[in-house]
Amino acid sequence: MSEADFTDFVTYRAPALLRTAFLLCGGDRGAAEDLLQEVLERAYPRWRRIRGKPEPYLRAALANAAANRWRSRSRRVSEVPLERASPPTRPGHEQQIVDEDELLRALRGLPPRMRAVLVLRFFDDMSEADVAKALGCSAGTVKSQSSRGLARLRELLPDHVRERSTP
Amino acid sequence: MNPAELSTRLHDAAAGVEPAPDFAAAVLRGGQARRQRRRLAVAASAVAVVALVASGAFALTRDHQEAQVGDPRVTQPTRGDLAGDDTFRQAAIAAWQRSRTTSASALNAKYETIGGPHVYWAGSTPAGPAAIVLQQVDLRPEPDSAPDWEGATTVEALVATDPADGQLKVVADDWSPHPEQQLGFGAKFGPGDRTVLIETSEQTLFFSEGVELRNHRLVRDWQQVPVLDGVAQVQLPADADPAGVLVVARETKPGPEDTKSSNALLLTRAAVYRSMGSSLTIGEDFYPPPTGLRWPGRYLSVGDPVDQREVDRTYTENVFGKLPTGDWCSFGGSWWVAATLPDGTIAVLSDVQADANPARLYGLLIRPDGSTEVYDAGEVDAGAPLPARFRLPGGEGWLVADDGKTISYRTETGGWQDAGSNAALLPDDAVEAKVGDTTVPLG
Repeated sequence: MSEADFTDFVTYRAPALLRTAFLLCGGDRGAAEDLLQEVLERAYPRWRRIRGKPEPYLRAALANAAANRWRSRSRRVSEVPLERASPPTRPGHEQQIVDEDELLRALRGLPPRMRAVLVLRFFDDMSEADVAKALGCSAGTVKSQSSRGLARLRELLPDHVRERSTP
Repeated sequence: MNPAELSTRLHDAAAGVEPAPDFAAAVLRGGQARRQRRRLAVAASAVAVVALVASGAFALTRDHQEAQVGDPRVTQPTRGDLAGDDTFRQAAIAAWQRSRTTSASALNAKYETIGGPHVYWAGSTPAGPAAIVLQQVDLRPEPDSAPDWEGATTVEALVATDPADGQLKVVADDWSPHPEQQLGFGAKFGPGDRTVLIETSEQTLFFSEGVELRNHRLVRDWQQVPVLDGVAQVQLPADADPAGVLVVARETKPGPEDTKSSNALLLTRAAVYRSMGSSLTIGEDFYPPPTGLRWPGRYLSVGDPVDQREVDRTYTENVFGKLPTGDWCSFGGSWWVAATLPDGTIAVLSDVQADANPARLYGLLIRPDGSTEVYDAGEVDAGAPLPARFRLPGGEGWLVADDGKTISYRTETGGWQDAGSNAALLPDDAVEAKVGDTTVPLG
């Protein structure tokens, strides 16, 4: 794949990858942009050598990088105010916006790897086997972490968010 | 909430998140710069390898050019006051060998060793003899590992006595794909994780034991730590919380208000490290339950509504952002109560918890001129009636909350007065509050 392929990939797929990064970082928009930019920059010199489709590879790299942020030299404060990049675009849905903020806050309260399992499994819709491969663990571990992650998320969510039925 | 609902909500929450218009160009520029630096590094490495081979100091055993980069520390004689203790050095090497395939570093990345382990430092510490063992490795990229986990680096391991079983073992280890960016390797270990040991090439380190509340500001006291034989040591007092420790490499001593972690050394806590059973259960056993108030999403304004995002921002800047984040996790900010006082001051109360420490309540006053004052409002007793209480200075009253409950109060001379539900600002001379049917003394 050429440099033009790389640029095209980033242009067209960065929005989707940024959303994954946004959730992996528990709704911290700045951390998500930093994380994605770093992962893509590091992928650039190796672009020609990536086997298969690059997107699953980059998604796994994002998840591992997010889950291993404890390695980073200066850790970010784990509690930051939620900041949306733009005002809500759905007038009349203010309560939904508040609920989404609460979900992001609750995500932030999960251990990073448990959060990564939930995001890859339920946002990126990856199979248990693919999540296991991406995070270097067994499918059984993914299954148990998904279950425990959901349970912990329910504990951390306010009642009105937890009980809101899906439209 | 079931998995399908979670999926929908995750998509809702991330909807509308878009990169900046110049994101692709910035990535391309960054990627090109990294490739250029990488080429220069490889060229420099080749020169270094030739020099090392010529000097006979480093045996080439690998065909991977980048893996041939020698860490100069592995050719240096062991440092420290136990450097001449061969028995201890051999015991440290044996401890490293025993844990090599199960250490946290080994579980987090695939690598092959280059040469043998080297005891870089062996010395006495308040927690007993300890050694820093270096092992050069060649990181092997896996199909799904981070793109930069490739090439040569050095795993650093601290071998010391585990107070849990009295055995000499690896109590912390770490590596970086970018060792040139590392400030050093450090750990908190020994009884209570109160012994801090840091291997560093930095010359000027400053240590802070923890955050203190002084003159209504969260501050840190800093002292310079001597670096001897490439290692700095600090012993924490018995009542110190290891989670509060911060060590930074700076040219000048930080001021008390400088509680940020820029240029901070990452200190692995042995208790957390020991809980690392497998790559996905890191910290699982250590992960503490939240002990703060479980009122997620409750942002209660007493009287005039306050600007939620401004209160969030100011509380984060003055309280959350200054307190230690803990070695594994922190909780806080999922609720607060705020009241606007007659002079325009906004009083805020919330709780914070780091690791398994008890959650504490912190009050914050945001004055009309933007200045702030922080108050410690005590440990949280989540099961107590009216668990959130903050007596405001200057006789401004009591800011209290008990979500979902009705609140009333009485003064020394008066009868019970209704104060609404969930949260209230009670007069300063209130002597008792009633939450539901339960009477709570104030003061």
